[in-house]
Amino acid sequence: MKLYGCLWAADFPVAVEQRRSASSAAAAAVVFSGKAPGVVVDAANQAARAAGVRPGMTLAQAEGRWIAAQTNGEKAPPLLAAERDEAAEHRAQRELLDAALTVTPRVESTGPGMLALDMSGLRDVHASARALAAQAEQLGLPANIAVSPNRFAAVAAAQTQPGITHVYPDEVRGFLDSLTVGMLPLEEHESRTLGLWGVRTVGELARLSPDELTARFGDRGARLSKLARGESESVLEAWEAPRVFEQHREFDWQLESIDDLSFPLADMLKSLCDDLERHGASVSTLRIWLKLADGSRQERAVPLGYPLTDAEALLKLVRIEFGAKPPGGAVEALRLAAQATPRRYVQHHLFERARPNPEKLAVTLMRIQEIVGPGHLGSPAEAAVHRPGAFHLIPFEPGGEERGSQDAPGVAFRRFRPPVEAEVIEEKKTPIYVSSAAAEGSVERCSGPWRTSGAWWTNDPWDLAEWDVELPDGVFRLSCERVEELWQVVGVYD
Amino acid sequence: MSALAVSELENLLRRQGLGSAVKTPDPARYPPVPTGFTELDRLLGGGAPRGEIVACLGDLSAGCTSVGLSIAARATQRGEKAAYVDASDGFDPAGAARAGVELDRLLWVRCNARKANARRQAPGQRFGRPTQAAQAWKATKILASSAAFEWIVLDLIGLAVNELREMQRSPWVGLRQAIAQGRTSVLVLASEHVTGSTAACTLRCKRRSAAWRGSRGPSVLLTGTSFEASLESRRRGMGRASSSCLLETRR
Repeated sequence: MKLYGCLWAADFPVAVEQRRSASSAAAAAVVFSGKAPGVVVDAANQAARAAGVRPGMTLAQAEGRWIAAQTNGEKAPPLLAAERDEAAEHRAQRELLDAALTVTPRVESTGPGMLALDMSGLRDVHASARALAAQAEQLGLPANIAVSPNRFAAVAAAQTQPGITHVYPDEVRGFLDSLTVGMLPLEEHESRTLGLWGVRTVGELARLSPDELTARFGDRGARLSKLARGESESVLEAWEAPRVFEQHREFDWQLESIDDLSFPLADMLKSLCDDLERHGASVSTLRIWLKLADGSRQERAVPLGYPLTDAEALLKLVRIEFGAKPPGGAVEALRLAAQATPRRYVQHHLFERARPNPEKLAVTLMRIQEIVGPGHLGSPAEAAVHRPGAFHLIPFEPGGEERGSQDAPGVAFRRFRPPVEAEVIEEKKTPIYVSSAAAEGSVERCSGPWRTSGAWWTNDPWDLAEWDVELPDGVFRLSCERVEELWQVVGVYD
Repeated sequence: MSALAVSELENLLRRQGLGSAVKTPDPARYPPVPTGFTELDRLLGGGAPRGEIVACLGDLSAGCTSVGLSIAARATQRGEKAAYVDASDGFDPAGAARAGVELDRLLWVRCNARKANARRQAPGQRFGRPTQAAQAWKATKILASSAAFEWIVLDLIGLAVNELREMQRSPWVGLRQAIAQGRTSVLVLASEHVTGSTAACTLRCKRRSAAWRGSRGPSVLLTGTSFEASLESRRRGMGRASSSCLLETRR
């Protein structure tokens, strides 16, 4: 028989804060988030709630309510307020998970302070629950634990019953019937509608026709009906510790060349890739740590254009990396760590041209980048500015289907980078003679000027007048910087 | 032996499964691809050959870049991948887009003059190698051996004479072997011969005229250019030798 357990640490954010500050659990406490004046109470413990403090109040309202409770003569404990620390909550949740994993290997982290456990097949369920409660107490996070063959019943029991509770199979329906309808995971409009219908308990909801509920609430209506009748079947999403993919090796002798290093590297990368393969992951970034013979240490990252699992391709990339930046000494120890990412599975289109193998392409691009340097390789893209010649490079990721063809070939233009300075003789503000290292001669025909300007609000403004001029050697484009009257030949029609 | 007899013998070898022994590519396997210029396709016997080196020679403004971009445009529009190895960093993305190149399918390799100069001046580099040309050559070799691109345009226009001499000494036969029997073609744009006898065909471009619209003042506009392309040399069975055609581009 399937058996679910639920661990519930009530007022988890407050409990974590009280544990950190070592304050008494009996003291009224709240945690808040946000910046003044919009500081809002996120959670309040039982003692604070007894004084009328509720989550969602502003901190000023909560303090006012607490003072009012004191002046009314009620026995109100002092209110402790602390800023919410989500990192500490994550750590505490992880501690609870570790404790639960000592009881059963299948644990789901359902939410802050709540765990769902698969307790099927445990030899002594009560002893396991007791042991878990004791561990939570030791961690400073007292928790309720409930066990039931119905998961919703286990969750509801942990949230409503203190200590350890068992809801046996023949008690499930009776227990659920007694719960208020608010224990169900309702959306606001569903809660409002059920209120209008006069449905107050889960039992009353269970007695409604499932078909009628489905007709009014859709799929969620059917699901709520099943939950209320104790017939729901849920799948536990077991938590898995994040995997670390690392390989470490210390050598008995010093490795002085890249070729020497390649043998252990190939072996380590093979093991790393096999491990990744088993977990359906691939490497997005490979980090390498080297310990050199002189005692110094080096760290470097090999960014990959495409997540890889091919050891040979990785070895080539690492060799390229070492070829470009040699370690600078003999290597005594080597550690590799892969930043893992889920494998990408590409579904190709039947009528689309086959794309290059991404792993092979990544290696090809990295080898070329090694030659021309970073920032000199990629797909060109026109920049979203009107500055002549502006562009940027984006990663090369070809794809897509065939596109329509153009009728006539367009005029090609070549740019001179950097532009060539020129001396220009003008007549009636039109160039008539050009003299430069790129071109020289009388202007036979010309068109222009086309004036562009921009970025006047920055340190790099431009204000240009451009001309197309036909010289004896061809048709060139001239540019005149209008502020400084600086003429340049920026390109040629070829 | 007549060309017809050679062709029949080659076809017989292919039918017997001995196609690897045939030097000329099988036109049925990888038919030539249109260049975008109808007259040039006619001159080349149907289009630019696959798995071959094609050279296009001419001075600056002779029309070589127009040929290169037109081939890249047609290739990328068909969904193929093209690489533009730009030795002198003269590629203009906006102009290429206007010429019809699908930029997202084009890999632009910008040879880095600064890195080349830094390497030349580095201690230990006693003999200054013209590394901008060397960068272009190495990148082309890597691209060719990857077989990931259908067209590689190696643009050497604008390189200094000593750099072109360096390119002439490069092992072009190895490059030709790397792309032979595959789909990848290499188009070399240069101002003079660099490929030796490895090019399947060599085109020579010459500027003819520019077309203008309007008479004077701001109404004058450049509407196109025209240039002459002649087949300077060819390998057997490829195009018509010693013929030329007039090519026109429109803006």
